Amino acid sequence: MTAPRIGWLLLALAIVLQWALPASLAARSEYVLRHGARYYLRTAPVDPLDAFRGRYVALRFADVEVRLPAGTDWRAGMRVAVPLSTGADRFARFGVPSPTAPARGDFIIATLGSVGLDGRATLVLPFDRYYLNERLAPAAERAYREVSNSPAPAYVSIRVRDGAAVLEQLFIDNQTVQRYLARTPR
Amino acid sequence: MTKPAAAWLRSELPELERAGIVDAATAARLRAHYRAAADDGGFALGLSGILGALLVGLGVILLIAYNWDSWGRGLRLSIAALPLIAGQLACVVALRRTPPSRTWRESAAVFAALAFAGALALVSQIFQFGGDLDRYLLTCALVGLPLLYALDSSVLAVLVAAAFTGWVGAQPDARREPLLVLLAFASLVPHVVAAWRENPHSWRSSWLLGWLLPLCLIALSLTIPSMRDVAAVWFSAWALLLIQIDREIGGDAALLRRPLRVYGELGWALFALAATFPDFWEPHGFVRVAGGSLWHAHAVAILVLLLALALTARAAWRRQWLLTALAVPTLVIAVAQAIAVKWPPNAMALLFNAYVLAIGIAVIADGIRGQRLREASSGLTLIAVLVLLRFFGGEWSFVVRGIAFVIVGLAFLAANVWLRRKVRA
Repeated sequence: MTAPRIGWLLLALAIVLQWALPASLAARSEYVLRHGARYYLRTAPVDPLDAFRGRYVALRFADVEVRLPAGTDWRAGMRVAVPLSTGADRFARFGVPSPTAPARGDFIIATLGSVGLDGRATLVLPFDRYYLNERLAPAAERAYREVSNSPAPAYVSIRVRDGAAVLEQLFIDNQTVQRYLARTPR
Repeated sequence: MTKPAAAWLRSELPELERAGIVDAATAARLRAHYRAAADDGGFALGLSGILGALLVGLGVILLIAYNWDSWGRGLRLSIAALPLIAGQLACVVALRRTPPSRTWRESAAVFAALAFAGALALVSQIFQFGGDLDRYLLTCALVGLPLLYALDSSVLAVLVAAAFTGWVGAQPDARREPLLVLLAFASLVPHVVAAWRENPHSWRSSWLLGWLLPLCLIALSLTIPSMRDVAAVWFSAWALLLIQIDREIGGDAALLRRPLRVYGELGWALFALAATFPDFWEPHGFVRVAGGSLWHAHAVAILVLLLALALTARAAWRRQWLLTALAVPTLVIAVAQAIAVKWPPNAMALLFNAYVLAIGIAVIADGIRGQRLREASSGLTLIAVLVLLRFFGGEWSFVVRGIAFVIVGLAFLAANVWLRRKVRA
C-alpha cells in the first residue's frame, strides 16, 4: 500500500473515531434521559472550577453508605450493580450491591469508594458534578448554602435505564436551580 | 546564505562532484546543511500558522466551557460539531495539497485534535458526566494518534505526549503503570524514527526529541512510588543514558540540534556538582541507603540504569575514556544504594570535587585537541561553577565572596580568550 493511501486511511480512521466517541456518548445519554426511570437523590453541592469543562456545582450524595453481603472479596475501586428503589419521602434508596446486574428492577453501576472492616462501603456514583455557566455556578452555591439548613434540601433527579444513569436536573428548594436563581434576588 | 543562493549551491553540487572539486561525503554534508537551513526557514514561517490553529482551538474550548445552558441540547451539540467539521475539512485539504505543505498539515492536525477535545468535553458537560480527567486525556491522546500519522504532524505528536503525561498525573497512584506509560510513548516512536530518517538535524527531529524525552521522563517518574528514595540514581542514570545515546547517534551536529546531549550534560553536571557537597551524602540527603532502596525502585528504573551502564561499557570498549568517566556519579550512587552502605560524607564530597575538576580539565584538553571551542568552553564553565559553589557552601563573608567572584569571573574571561586563541591556532 502506498504512503498517500495509508495517509488517507488513517485520516478516515481518525474522522470515524472523532465522530463515533462523542456521538455514541450523546446518543446513549439522550436515550436514557428520554426513556429512563426517574429517581431523586439528596445532594450537598459546592463550587470548584474545572479548567476543561467550565464551571460546575460539585455534588456529594447523602445516603451512599451501604452494607455489603458476605461471601465476596469486596475491594475499593470495584464496580458494582446497585438496585434502586423509591422511599416514602420519594427519594431513592440504594439496595444491596452485587458484582453482577440484577435480573429485575432498576439499578445503577457504581464504584466502591471505601470498604470498611465492618462490611460497610461508600458508593461512588457515576456523576459528581452539575454544570452551569460561569455566571450561575457561584450563585447556585450560595443558594445551596442558604437552604442547606432548611427542611427543603438540595437534590438531583437522575434517569436510569439498564444500569446506565444520567443526571437530569439539580433542584434547590423544590425548584430547578435555574428557576430558583431567576426568582431569587442576587 | 539567502534561500536562492543556497538553492543555487545545491544545484551546483553534482557538477562540483563530477569535476572532483568536492567528494561525495562533503557534497552530502553540504546538502544536509542547506536542507536543514531551508527547513528552519519554513518552520519559522509555519510557526505563525500552527500558533494560530492552536489559539483558535483553545479559544473554541474556552467558549464551550462557558456552558450556554439557555440553549437546547441539540443546538449545543450542533455547535460543538462545527469546529470538528472545520478541522476535519482542513485535514482533507492539507492531505490533498500538492506539493504538500508542512504548515497546513501541522495546523490542520492540531486544530482537528483540539476541536475533538472540545467536542468531547461539551458532550460531557451537556450530559453532566463525572470528572474522569485521566480517561478524558487518554481518549484525546489515543484519538489523536491516527491523525498525527495521517498528517505526519510533529506538533500534534508533542500534544499527544503531553496528554499521555497528563493522563498519568491525573490517575490515582495505585493505577499508574510504568509499562503502560512505555507502551503509550512507544506509539509515538515510528513518527520520531520517520522524522529522524528524513533529516536527523532538522527542527522536527530536535523538536520531537526535545519535548518527548522530558515528557516521557516525567510520566515515568510519576509511576515510581518510592521516587524520593531513588531520585538520585533515576535522574543521573537518565542523564548518562542520554549522553551515551547522543554519542551513538548524534554525530557532529550543533548543540542546539542535539537535545539529548543538552539534557544529558545538564543532568550530569547537576548531579556531579551536587555530589561535591557533603550534605548530598548525608542519610537525609539525596542518596538514601536505608534498606537497599535501589532494589525497591521499579523495574523500569533498574532497566534505565542497566542500559546506561551497558552503553558506557561500549564506550570503554572503544577507548572513549572521557565518555566512560562520565558514568562515575551514576555508578557510585547506584552502588551506595544497592549495598546500603553509608560512606563518609566529607570524604565523598572531597572525592567528587577532585572528580569534577578532573573532568573539567579533561574536557578542556579534549576540546583543544579537537579544536572544538564549545567543548573547551564547557569544561571551563564546569570548573568555574565548581569554584563558585565552594564559596556558596562555606562560611565566607560577603566581602570575601565578592572578591572571589570577581577574581573567578576575570580568570574565566581571560581563560576564554586564551582558549579561543589556542583552538583557532
